Amino acid sequence: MARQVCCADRAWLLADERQTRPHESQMSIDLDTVRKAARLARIAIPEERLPALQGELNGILAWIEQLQEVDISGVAPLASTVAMQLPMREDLVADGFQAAAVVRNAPKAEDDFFIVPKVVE
Amino acid sequence: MTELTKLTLAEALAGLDAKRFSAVELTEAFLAAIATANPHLNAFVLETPDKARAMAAAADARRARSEALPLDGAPLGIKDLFCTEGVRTTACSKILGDFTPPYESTVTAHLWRDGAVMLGKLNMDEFAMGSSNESSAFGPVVNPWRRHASNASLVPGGSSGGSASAVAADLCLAATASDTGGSIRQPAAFVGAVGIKPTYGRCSRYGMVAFASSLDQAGPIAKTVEDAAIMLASMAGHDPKDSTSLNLPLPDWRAATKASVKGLKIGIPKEYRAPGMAAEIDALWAQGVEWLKDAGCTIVEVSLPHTRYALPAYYIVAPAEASSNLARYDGMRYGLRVAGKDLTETYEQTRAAGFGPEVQRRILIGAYVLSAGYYDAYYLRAQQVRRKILGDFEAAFAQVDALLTPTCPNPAFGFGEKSGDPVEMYLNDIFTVTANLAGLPAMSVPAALDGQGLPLGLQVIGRALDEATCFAVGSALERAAGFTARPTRWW
Repeated sequence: MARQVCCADRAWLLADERQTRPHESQMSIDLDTVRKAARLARIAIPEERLPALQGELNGILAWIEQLQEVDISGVAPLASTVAMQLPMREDLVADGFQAAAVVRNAPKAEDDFFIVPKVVE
Repeated sequence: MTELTKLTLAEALAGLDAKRFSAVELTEAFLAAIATANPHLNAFVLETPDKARAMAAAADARRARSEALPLDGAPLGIKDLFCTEGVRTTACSKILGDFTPPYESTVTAHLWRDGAVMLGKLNMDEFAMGSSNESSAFGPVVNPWRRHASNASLVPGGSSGGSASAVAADLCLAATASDTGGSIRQPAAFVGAVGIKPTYGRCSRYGMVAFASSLDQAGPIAKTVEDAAIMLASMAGHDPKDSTSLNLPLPDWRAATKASVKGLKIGIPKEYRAPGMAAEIDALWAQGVEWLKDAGCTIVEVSLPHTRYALPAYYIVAPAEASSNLARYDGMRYGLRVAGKDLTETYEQTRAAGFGPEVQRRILIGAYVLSAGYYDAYYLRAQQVRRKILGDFEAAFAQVDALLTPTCPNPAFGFGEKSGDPVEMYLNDIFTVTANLAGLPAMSVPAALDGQGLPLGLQVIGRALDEATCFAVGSALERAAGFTARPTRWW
């Protein structure tokens, strides 16, 4: 789905991008995919909000689609800009015995335990 | 006493050292200023006057014993992203409720180690997701600046909008902030302040509410380049509690602000100039080039060919990391819980009620791009593009010592002007987000007012670990620009 043109001083950011988006319709997501993403994310989305959300997500995904133009053959993914090995430390207890502090902010707690909804029937 | 609030951090520390005023007097002046201004600006979401007075009294006592610390008695504002022991920390999200951390973030611990005084917690976009501070659960922040002959309220930028507004309105000497895609530099530019995002890893992320862990980096918003250097010197430093924290010595950044820039090569990335960009911003950029030439720099045009792909790559990487990081908000151990008929429904109702619309959008995008079948097409590709962007910078920095660009494509805008379309809001970070993806230090320096009387910033991007050159070039721009404009007080 095509995005609306934004105000004039940023139109250049979008102008040629709209012409080079061959995949956008193929990659747009349907309502079921929005439902699935919401389920994966554990966010309850009311049924009546789904179409608007679908439009917003497709707007964002259509814009992201321009990454398909980049030649990334042979390029290793970059996950972190810190070029170092993860530091090792001695396997010693550094902290602990702070149960009261750990549960202090719990919505429900009793005797240093979190009270949670029943998980196993 | 109101004049005390107009001091720079460096001036205030000198005044305290010379015993021209006490830390308690200075703190009272800021508390009074906050009480007057905050109902209008909404920069602070929590004021901590009792804590501030106690910290100031302790600072005065140390100074009386000639044991003054580097920031002793300096009243600061703290972005609500930094956990503060015993003081509510929410990242301006309903899902954290009244979360009161039992521990202190390393960045704030460093500031208290050095004697600083906490005035309170500063407003921000929810989970630092935004460029206008309109997504805060505590309501938007108002920019102290207004257009000429206009009473219309403007946004302070985001996500560190509270930090920016508080510094510009003289409600604190300086503030902590954080920057994932431009959240220090863009608001600093919108309010005529200085902001620096250091090299990724300079500041510990321990105790900072996580948004996108490979991009998040703390830094200050301050009134001058020198003040920013003083702040960063305290905030930065190695921390074993953050595995990405750099174990490297900290250069003398305050000294760097006095260093000559003569002979430095400054790159002008041609991809940051585009037809249609606001003429005033282009003109200011050209002016910045002239200022640096006059200071003895050599100007070199450079190319960063993948610039246009930075924001789309960011809007895969950042939401993907956010969707993982924000999975922790499940209503079980802290924060909001909305009970459902079973555990899953409790999760879903809690997260629906606790997260605002922009945060929900980004979590959903993240969940989608990481989901089975799409990982390679989106997330992996974005990480590959990220390496191309880093490669662009490495090639440029083989030729030049620093880059000069505008900070933003536009000045501060009005409420609601960009909220209708997520992508248009995202485009505000077009010039800042590249430094996050590549992990580079970058600073925004206020340089001019536009035709409507609003501040505009110039950005200096440095090599990894070379904040010192950012401070030197930023200072040269600051001296040449002579930017002394202040917002007309209407609050």
